[in-house]
Amino acid sequence: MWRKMDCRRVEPLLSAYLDHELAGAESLEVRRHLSHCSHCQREADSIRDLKSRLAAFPSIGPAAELPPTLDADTVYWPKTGLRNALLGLGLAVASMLVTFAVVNRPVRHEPTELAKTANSRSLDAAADRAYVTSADPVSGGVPVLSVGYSGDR
Amino acid sequence: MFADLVRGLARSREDRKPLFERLMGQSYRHAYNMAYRLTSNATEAEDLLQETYLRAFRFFHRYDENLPFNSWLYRIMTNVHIDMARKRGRLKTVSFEAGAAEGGRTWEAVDDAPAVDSQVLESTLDEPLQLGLKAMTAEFRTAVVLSDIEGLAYDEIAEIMETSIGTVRSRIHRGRKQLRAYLEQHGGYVA
Repeated sequence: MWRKMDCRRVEPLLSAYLDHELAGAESLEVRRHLSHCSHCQREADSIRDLKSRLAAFPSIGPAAELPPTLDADTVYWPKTGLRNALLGLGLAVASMLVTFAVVNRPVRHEPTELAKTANSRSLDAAADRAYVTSADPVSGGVPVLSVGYSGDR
Repeated sequence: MFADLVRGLARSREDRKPLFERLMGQSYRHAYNMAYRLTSNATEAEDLLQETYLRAFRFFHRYDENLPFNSWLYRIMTNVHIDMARKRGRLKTVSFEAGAAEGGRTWEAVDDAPAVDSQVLESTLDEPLQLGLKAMTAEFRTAVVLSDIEGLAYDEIAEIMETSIGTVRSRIHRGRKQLRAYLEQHGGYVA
């Protein structure tokens, strides 16, 4: 009976023992038990064999030789609360209005710095969009605003 | 003022992009191997990897450059993989005796996904083991892959899986037993 209780206590610890993840006292207890329990020793051996088999898996590489490229320009702000969310949305709307006004203004002289910037990729009026996205999948925070920019067409 | 705001935003994103692309180039081969071991299928592995890097770039502002990029990447991959597995509804309960005896549910992947790549498996020389991984619970499979294929310590796995070391210990042990039970049932286990 005493020995059976030991097995029930030791069995769940076998993987951690074999991975050298047990503290000194627990590790010693498991080692002592294994020295006189053939059942648990067989369990430990089979887990050890399975570990070796998994470790022997050859590395699988991707079919393509070149690394993937990044073509999605999306920036997420951390969760800032409703007030700042509304402020951010207001800024985005105002920015779009300014950009629209600049792009549609009759050009009689040299373009201003703002107009030059408006023609650049980052301020492409046709591609700018602002939207409130769903929850942050990594930490649970709520992104306030996501601004997407078109890639080169 | 608004133009300055947008220029600043574009500049910071452009500053981060080369660093991210460099980290992506350095990590993608190793990350692909992990993605394949989690999904057992080249197409799904590519999907998993693509979604992982996409999320990683979106939340790159949260990455602490003093910490290993792979650990942070695997944390995202783990979340994506488990989310994908759940959304596809590829899990159902079965009664592996070992799991039932411990009072916990165990799972088996529904066989509605593309088969494990036979061409790739010819080179792995251990098709039963990959099939066994495919049949495991997503959480158990992830813990065992991180431990026995990636060789990570329990505290690193706990960080990646965002759980306690005790839970990691349980998932690894129960995962190995689940895998062993599958191999014994399907003739792929050598004692």
